[in-house]
Amino acid sequence: MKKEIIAMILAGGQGTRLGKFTKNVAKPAVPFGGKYRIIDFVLSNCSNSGMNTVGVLTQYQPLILNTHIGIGSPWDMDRNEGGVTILQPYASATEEKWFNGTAHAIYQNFSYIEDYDPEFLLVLSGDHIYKMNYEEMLDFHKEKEAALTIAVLEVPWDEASRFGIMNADKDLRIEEFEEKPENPKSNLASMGIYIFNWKMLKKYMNDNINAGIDMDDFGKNVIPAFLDAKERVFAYPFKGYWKDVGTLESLWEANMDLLDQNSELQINDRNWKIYSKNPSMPPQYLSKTADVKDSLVVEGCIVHGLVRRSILSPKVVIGENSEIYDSVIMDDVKIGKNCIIKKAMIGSSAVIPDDSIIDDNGKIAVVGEFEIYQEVK
Amino acid sequence: MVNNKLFGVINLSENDYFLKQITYNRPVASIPFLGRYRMIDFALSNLTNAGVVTVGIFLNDRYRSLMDHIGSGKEWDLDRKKGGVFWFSPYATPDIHSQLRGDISTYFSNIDYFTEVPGDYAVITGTSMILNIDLDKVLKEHLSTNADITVVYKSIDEDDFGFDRCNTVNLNEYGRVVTFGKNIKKNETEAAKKKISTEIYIVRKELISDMITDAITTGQNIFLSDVFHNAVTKYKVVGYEFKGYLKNISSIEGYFDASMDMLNEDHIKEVFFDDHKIKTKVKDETPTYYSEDSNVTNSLIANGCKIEGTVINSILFRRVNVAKGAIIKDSIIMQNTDIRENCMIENVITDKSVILTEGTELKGSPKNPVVVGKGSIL
Repeated sequence: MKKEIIAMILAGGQGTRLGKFTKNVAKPAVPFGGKYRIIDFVLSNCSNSGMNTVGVLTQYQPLILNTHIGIGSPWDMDRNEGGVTILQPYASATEEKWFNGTAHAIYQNFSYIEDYDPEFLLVLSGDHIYKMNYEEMLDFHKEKEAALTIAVLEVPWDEASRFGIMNADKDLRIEEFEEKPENPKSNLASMGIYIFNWKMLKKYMNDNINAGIDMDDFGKNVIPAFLDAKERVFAYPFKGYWKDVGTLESLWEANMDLLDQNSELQINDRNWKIYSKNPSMPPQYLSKTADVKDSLVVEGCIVHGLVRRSILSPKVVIGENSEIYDSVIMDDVKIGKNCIIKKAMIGSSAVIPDDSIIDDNGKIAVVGEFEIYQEVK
Repeated sequence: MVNNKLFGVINLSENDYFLKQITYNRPVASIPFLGRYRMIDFALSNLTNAGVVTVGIFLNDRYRSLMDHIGSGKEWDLDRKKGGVFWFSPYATPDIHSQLRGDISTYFSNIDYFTEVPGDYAVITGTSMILNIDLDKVLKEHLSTNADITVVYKSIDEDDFGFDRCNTVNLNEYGRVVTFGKNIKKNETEAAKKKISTEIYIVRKELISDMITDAITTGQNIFLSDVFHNAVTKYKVVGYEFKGYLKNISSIEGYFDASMDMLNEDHIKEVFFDDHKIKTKVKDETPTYYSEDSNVTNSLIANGCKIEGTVINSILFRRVNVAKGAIIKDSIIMQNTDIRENCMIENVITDKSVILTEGTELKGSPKNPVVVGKGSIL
């Protein structure tokens, strides 16, 4: 059955820089913002943009990610035609097909894409926090008659050397692409969001791979191939909140950004809801001794203590006289009495016994999932 | 368990005379409860937690919100190929039995449900009770006592006034139900406990079909509950004592009291943190935001709220805004209510989508809370 556009979400990354949080979970499935997982943002963007045929490419520790996505009902993707499909590496008669890179992962799933015979292919990352209407990007792609459109974000000049930088002319046509340049000529950073003309991508990849040329990575191989061949490659400027939550610091910051009521992210926009799997839990209970300010709290929490500038996930219990500051507490964490927790990220189902003190002197303290916290004396 | 022994019958003929202010445009089953639930969630969850896959809902009127809430029944895993949710509405035909007063004709018109449903035993339940009950245990006892009909009851103290106008169950020394009665407030307190019917019955499907048919053929213009009450003379009716948490909602006062009673961690845990979950329709609301100026104690707060004011001993449903300087005490604030700056309310129930403009002051009493109707702007 033919679809105009289908989306492929790259969700196989290990996310080593997230340390304990990605030991058993793929990065896109790391809990975020109290009731979400990181991938909910891109899936909700797809749903809200009317993209309802979505392949999710998983590889590293996929169990929780796959369970979370299921048949896609939270995002209205349980469809008779299309919907969400989990695409995992598989062994074939001739070889084992682990995904070697972003483009290689797509290449291995050409048969999935072919089934829908799309005009356009939207390639997305499963580990970014942002809201974006992909349909508007598609309109831009069509209007420019582009072969490839890359969403770009203006980043501060002093940070530009950390990104893949697009040098575009005034018509937004990209002339040059530089991966992490020392002396950036522009501050338009690639967001890792691509729309390809599917037939063209297929031709370039097949031809080059058959010729023995490495085509594993979009940034290193595919985009340069398009540019070298003078194809029409355009930059689609995005304005708004966007964050790659690849490190503990950026994950913590992105969580804290949710507390900013003037943030551009606005997760409470009723016309652009962020969907997730919702637990069946009663409303949050704040007891007589509770004192919660400048924080986000969700269903199933029971709070007896003090909470400041923090984010609590479902079923978190905070005992009497405990104080939580600047922290992200993931689901089902039990915090006992008389604890002091400062700038911490505490993984799912961890237990913090009575009288614990967690404070890494300004650095982010981390307690892994299912960990029973023990103070290092 | 594809072919469960039990199937569900949810009976919506419930007296809402003393609930009128919040049942003006909804049945009792659809009354919002505790921030995110509706009353029927208890019946649906208790049934499905016992493995029931087929539930028939016998409607009366004002059922728009109920159908919207239940939809395909997905939240309770009732969107099934085998089983699922079946809706039965009253028939408005000039047929003789549809002119009767009771609801028995609705059951008779849909008697095929009882004869064709897979499953051997019907669980008949109302929606005005708050309880988390293991119906498997009730069935086991129903089978071991060889009862024709089992009715679930709870013993309460004589001075517990939370069950006014509920039906009582009177047992003989062998646990047989001798009579059903009404719980009327008495001033003189007796030492004895009263047994309140939870309006949950288990009965073999052939017997319930016969009882409904008999009521029609003898021309009795009655309700299904009367059929059960009359059965004591003819059948073996046995009581099953439920020992868990039970509350009834049959008046505004009772609704207010049952809600406030949940501001007790033990009660929340017993009803909602059990392995058997009470499920409801989810709305994908954002986490609730508590601002620097907020001050919230002893309250239950649903998702999607933004709180900048003071909330004490209260229940806030989803998407409630409490602006700076507003004080909410001992109140129930339903979904999508906007409480603006410097409002002061105490012992108030606001129905859905109410706006309280700046500086509004409202004060009721626990016995007689002020009810603000759906969509009002004050």
